[in-house]
Amino acid sequence: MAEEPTDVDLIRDVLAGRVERFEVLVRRYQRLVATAALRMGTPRDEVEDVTSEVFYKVYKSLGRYRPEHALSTWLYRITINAALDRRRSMRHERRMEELSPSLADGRASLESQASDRERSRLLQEALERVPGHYRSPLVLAHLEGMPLEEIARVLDLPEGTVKSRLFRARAMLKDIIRRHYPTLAPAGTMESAT
Amino acid sequence: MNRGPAGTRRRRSWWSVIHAGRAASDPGSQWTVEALRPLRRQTVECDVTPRVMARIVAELGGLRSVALSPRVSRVAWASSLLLACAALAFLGSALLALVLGGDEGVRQIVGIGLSGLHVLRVFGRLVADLGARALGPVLLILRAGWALLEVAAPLLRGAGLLAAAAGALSILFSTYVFASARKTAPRADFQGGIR
Repeated sequence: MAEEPTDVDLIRDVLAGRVERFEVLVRRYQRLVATAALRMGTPRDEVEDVTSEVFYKVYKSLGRYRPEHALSTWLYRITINAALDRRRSMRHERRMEELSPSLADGRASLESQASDRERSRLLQEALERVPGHYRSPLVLAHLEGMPLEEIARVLDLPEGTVKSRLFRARAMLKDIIRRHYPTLAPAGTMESAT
Repeated sequence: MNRGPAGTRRRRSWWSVIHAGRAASDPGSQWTVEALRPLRRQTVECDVTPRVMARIVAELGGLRSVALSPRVSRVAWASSLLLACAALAFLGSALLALVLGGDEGVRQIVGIGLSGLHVLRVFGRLVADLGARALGPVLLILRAGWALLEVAAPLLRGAGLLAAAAGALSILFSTYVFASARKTAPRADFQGGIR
């Protein structure tokens, strides 16, 4: 059985002019990038745009890749920046304005249906209310399951800063859930937390 | 409310207040993991490969065929060098054939070239004569100046020593004047007053 080429081999091939080898990298990591973009607050219908933008950026700056760190670390960094940039755009600002009035409806529907999908949507909303530079470590630590050291590498920040941002982010999320989405609080924990 | 009974905070030290506040705000990893569990299950299945590759290929365009492997570019470089050498050889042989064949145009070109060479030779000789004439007096002046310097060297050395001695004396005198002036000067305090 033929052995799978490593990321470094593929990158070397692409840099040597075999552009078609980049396709293997895209196939290998597109799920990771798309999921990270979604978790960072990119609307589902824009996830594909962000993902392809991320891979295009990766291709353009492939020569700057340092093989000391995993390719996924670099991909996470570009994805987070792309997702935050997308959120900063005017279009998304408008979307966020539209989201606020729907909170009450969302709460009501959660109480009545409590469907998993609705819960995820509301959680995503809650997460989007956490400012970008706090949300990034929160998503990487608690959704992507990354260790502190790697988060620091992805965000290009000292570990101490990441740790303190993580504290703040968790506190913010808890506060947001307590104020706007009380039904999203994990069962039996809200009472003890407050 | 998170706060305890009124006045409780006032009795605590400032650092315990800060630490207690932080501990109360941060719900901890376990709580966050539990809260975000539905999002953890969320994944996206999409295929952006055709889109990304189409964009890359479109950008590369015609350049892609040129940017081939290093081996191909080496072959291209060597063949272009060979072609250049062949073209030069062809040009040289064509010129030789024209000169040897006694072509009218070539004869005229050779005549013009020889005349040009003659003009250049005459002009060069003129410039050389002019340079030699100008250089004679300049060399004489330089030589005279050098002889003058050789004669005046001891005098210049003496003058230099004299100037240095005068400078040192002037410094010593200034020091003496300054020191005696300090002795007799009125003393001033830091507020600018005179005591």
